[in-house]
Amino acid sequence: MKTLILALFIVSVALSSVYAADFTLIVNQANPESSISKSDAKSIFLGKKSTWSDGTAVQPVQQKKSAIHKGFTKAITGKSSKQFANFWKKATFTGTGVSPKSLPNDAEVMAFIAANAGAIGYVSAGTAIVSVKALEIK
Amino acid sequence: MKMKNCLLWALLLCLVPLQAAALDWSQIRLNGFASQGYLSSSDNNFLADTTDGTFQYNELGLTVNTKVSDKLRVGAQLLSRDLGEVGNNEVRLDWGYGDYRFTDYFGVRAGKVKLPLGLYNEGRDSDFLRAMTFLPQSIYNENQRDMLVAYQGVGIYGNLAFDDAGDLDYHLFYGTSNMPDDALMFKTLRKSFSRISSQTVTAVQEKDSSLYGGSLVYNTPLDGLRFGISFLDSELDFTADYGAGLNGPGQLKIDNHFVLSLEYIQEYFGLMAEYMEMKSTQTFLGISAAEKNPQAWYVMLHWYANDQLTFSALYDVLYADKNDKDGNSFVAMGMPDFLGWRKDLSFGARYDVSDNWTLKAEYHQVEGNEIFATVINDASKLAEDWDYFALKATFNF
Repeated sequence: MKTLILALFIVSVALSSVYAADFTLIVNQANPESSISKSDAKSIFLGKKSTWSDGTAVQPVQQKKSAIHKGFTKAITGKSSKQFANFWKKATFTGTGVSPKSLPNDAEVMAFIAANAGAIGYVSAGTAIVSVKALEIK
Repeated sequence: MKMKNCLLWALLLCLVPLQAAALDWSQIRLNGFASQGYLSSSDNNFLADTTDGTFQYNELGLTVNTKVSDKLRVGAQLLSRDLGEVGNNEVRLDWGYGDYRFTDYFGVRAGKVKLPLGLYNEGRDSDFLRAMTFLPQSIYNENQRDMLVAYQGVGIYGNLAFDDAGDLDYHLFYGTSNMPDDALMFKTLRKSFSRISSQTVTAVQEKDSSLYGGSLVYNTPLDGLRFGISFLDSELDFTADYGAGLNGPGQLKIDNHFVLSLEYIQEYFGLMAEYMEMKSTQTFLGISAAEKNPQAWYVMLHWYANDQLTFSALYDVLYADKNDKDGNSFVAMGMPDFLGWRKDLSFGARYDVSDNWTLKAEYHQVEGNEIFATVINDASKLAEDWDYFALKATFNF
């Protein structure tokens, strides 16, 4: 029995480490927000919240298939990266929306967000935040 | 094209405002899919000539989505499909509409819009969105696909957010159905109208229709858990040819059509269950058949074994009339009692070769049948216990 409990503990730790929220949410420096609730962040990345409090249109960007993308979709939307992709495929093929723009790495995400007032995205935790600002998740 | 349809399309075009001149072409997304399946059944044909096995089971779709402005989007999907005698790969508009989102909690859609019934009707033509090849047939009956796949009209929709208490998606609509001439529904109605009137009905055409309904989906704070309720009232008027050059009015009226839905999806498993009821009345030449109260439900389980492999099990039940579960009314008409129910136990596997390629296989063991089976089978030779299997390969981009 002890062995079974130990095995379950190891598996759960291994699984949780895969989805650890090792990312920083970032927005354009002109964005008046300094924090965001998890439910608002989820609504943004599922296309249900389309404007910031000042009326600027929200422009979410995602990272291409990667560990950070996997961790982000699980932590914020509660979906695996595959379920997240399927959610947007359904929207695409029924006309209700299209998936967030997809960029290959932290540097391109930061550059895009720096250039677009309403943009929001995520970069790996520990990445030097340059020309954009970090958003605290409440 | 009927006058109502012309007005609707005019409305759709009006939604593309003058600001289209400022269209940003980088905002146009082009997607598509292509699938090829194989169907085979024992004893009874299922939707097509399947007892001999058939490859007449495919879909090809091309979708364009355009963001005209922050609030306005326009999109359309062309679909070519073949399922036995239906479709024959004629290219048709599957959906096409303008969507103006005033706020996150209020938007308007106008045009040909996917009809929200149950959690999965809107995505029924894109099989790569689900684990099994077919949606549960008790609620998402292929025989009724062309009547239920989309409405041509106007809908309002939105999302009401309740912070940590989840959020609610709503969609209410009014419109028409506009079924294509080869819709399976016409074959069923030809048979029904013949029976009602004791005349030989040779052809049925849609004359007019009205659909209205709505859908509410509550996305709970528990990730992956959502509940839905959707409802639909529809009235379809037809002209049917009978006898020697005569024709007369027919009607199909469906009231109180509702679906209750539950979906719970976690990392390694998924549970879906839905329950449906409706009241259906058919009238031809002023003679009404007895009201039927179809009842259906299913429970489906998915096991996401890994990122590529999903296993499914489904138990799917349909009663032609919840007040006659033994099928006595069919016996009274000289037909087998098992047209009164259909119980389908099935198992399937889906393998995602890549993000774009999907392979599926599934087996269905069925007891009983539905009235449509008498249209594509010799009614006197229908078997109560039968099975079918489906294979399908799909590419999407």
